[in-house]
Amino acid sequence: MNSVDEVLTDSPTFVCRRACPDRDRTGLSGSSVSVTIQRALLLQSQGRLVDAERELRLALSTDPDNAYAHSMLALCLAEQKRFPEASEEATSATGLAPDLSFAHYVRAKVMYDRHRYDDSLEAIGQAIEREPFDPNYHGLQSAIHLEKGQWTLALESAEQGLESDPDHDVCTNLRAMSLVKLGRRDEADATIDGALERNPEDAFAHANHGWAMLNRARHQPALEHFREALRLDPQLEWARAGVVEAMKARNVVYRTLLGYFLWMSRLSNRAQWGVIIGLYVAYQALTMLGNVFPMVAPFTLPVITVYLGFVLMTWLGEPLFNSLLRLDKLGRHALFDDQRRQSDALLLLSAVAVVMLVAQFVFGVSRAGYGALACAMMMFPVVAIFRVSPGWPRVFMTGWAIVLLVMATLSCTLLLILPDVPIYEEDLPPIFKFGLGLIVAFIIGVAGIMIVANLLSSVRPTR
Amino acid sequence: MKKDRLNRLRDAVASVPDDATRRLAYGDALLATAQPAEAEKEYRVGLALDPANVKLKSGLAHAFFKQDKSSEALVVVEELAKSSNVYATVLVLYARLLHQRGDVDRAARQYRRAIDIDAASSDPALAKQLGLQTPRPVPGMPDFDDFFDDDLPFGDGPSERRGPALERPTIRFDDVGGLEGLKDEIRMKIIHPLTHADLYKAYGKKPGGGILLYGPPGCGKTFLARATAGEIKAGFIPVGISEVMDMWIGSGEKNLHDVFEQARMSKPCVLFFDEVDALAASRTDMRTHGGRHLINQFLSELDGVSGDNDGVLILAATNAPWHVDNAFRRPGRFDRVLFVPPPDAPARAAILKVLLKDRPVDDIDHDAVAKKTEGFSGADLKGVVDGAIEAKLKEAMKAGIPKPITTKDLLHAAAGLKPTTRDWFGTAKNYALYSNQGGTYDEILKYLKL
Repeated sequence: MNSVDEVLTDSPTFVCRRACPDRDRTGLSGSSVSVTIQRALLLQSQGRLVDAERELRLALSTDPDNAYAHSMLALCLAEQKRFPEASEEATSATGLAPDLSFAHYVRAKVMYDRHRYDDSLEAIGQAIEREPFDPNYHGLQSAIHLEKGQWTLALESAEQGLESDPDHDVCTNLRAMSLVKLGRRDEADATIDGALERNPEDAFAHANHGWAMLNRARHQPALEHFREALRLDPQLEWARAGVVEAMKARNVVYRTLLGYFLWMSRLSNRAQWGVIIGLYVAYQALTMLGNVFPMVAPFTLPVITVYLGFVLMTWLGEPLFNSLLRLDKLGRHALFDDQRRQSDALLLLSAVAVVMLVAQFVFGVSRAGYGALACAMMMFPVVAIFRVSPGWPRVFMTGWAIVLLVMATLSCTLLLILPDVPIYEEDLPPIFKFGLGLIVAFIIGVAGIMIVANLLSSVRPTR
Repeated sequence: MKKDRLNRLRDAVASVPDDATRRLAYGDALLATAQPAEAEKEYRVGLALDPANVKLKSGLAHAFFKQDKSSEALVVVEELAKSSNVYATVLVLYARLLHQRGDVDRAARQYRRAIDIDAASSDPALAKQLGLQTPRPVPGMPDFDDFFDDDLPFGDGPSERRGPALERPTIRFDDVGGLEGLKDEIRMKIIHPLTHADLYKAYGKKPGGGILLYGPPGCGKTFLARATAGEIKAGFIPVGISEVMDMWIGSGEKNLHDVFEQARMSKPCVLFFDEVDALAASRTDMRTHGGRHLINQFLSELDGVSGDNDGVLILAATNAPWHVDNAFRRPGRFDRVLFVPPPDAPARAAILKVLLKDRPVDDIDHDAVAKKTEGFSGADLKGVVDGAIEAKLKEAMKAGIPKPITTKDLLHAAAGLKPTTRDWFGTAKNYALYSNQGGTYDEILKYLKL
């Protein structure tokens, strides 16, 4: 429901990038793997993907039915984000060698990278059916369940992997993540401690530890673990996201907000909506109660105020604190591009709002304050853009926000240039009617974009 | 006659279809009569019967080659070339295929392997294309230096038989635009210990150790290394990614030792490892024992355990210094790690001048173009020039009149390109910010003004 949640749902991806079964387990090791494929594997392991692809294609030109080469090529293409080609290669591999568990694993991995979790789950099931004791397969299955919010199943898969290899890093980390989601924090801590004891240089385990600490509202030790994770692997974005959150959590207001975000991220999608709607119903009930029984109004009003402030903060808190983080050197660099863009847009809107307020109250420009109000309201569409995943939801939200911006600009211009006319007059000139309609449409549009952003926040477009 | 023989062989195959030897003979005959497709079929059937038959594989490779199936042929000969009992003809074919792919260094090496095995397998035309037409000098002959002056791509002595080519670069530091700080560092570390040996000795400063150059791709690391060799008129042995890959897959430790031996025999010599991260990867990343052995061998060669490295100047370059094992940065190894940034504005202007030399140009304002190409690597600038030329060619085709390239054309081409160094700096920034133990990446922070 928010970017923290997005980061949390991204986390299994980081684990699974590391999970690639050893060649030896595919039954294709040794002499059956040609020199060209060996070279490709070496190049791929060194991240020289273009070179690896060239070698694999070379191998396939002489042996087009080599399922292993097709599978490796699929992985190579997926790493280059050439997903349709990767899918094609993965499907060829399973077609050529239906009994090769590795081919099914690769297909599952490609589907996972494409956010096609049902297909991925089906493929990894095929791989496990053929090779039930490969912990990497169970690790991927666990990661898919985590993406789907199926915490118990994720835990079961990770534990099955650990039955085959009790020291398996990926399964250990996924087990810990599942336990955190299930609220079994002590077990999660013990699992991560075990992982770090075995391998103190496991960057992912440090990041995992950091997030577990954040779930316990212990931002300082969390920050230390995130920093250590980044020292070991500076490219680990999950740890970088942790640094951002841990630094913002130094502020008690944000800490409370983060606690709410993390708690919400542990709930299923349906439960999250239950909480949002439940709170809204309670707010409406309290408002009604205050209206019907004025004597209870002094008691309901503070609760309503806190609720409204809370809702406001769930929307604006994160970008606001991101903006504050820009004053800190480490925080400034840790912010992601999206967070920076969002912060830039909000700062710009704030600056325009301040100019409008100064114009109204210092220079006496009549109705300039409405411009400030419009700027404040435009902050919600801006946040809405970044609340959804990149792809069509983001494009859709951006389009909507641009329409709202045009409406706000037109409304404010009309307000500034038109003379004073009582709006309750029946025979308003058409331009006034148009202006009023525009304002109403703008307000409805802002409310609408907030609801739709919440609806789309859990959508991850397939690739 | 040939037809009769073919018929006889075909009958022989028909009478005993499961005999791989007959298939081989028939395949060879078909190949000799310019029927490579039919020959391929016979070799394939033969290999199904006897998969390890080297002669059949060799025949198959030749059949592929004759049908212009270069990729297929290459895969087969690569497999065969790994064996110590490889046929010279296979190696000649390997050289020809590598040459077709533009890998002249490796082609020359394989050709020389072939000649070492069987001088009769020589192919003068191919040798000429590979620049190997000059007869090899006899080891120990006094014309050693003259030999290098011929700029032949290989050196002498048994140790370099499989090693990379030895070069004699003619470029100097003056040919490298900008990078003054880097040149000074290299002078202090590599050149002065050679040219002012007594002074260094007087101060008790022991020469040795290597330099690791790192930076975004296409920014002149290799060029700088060549210029270093040119500056001291030393030999230059480049070890590229292909050689490194061969080391990982073949008998790597011996090959690596051979390369060092080749350098030691060619003193003074600059031994240059390009993309060294492929060879000196972090040992914790290495899953196989074989990998660790090769890295350990590299370390001991750098330490001079198996030979004296005096007079051997070791340079290495990488785009990913963070993947290089820390053990390589200890004193005596790559103890200087130098950042090679993208060219600055004067260097970019100089590069543009070189790139536009002998082209139809109209009073180009190099400085203006350099100003608009901040962050562009040398390779990116080449892209700018190529883009401008292509656009101009299209224009000339339409108008029917060739027009010179203008500053505007270059600026237009530059506007359509993004510097390829940007991605590199995206990654480098993370390492500089979060994993900068000992200030290794301070230069990146400085460059990025962080």
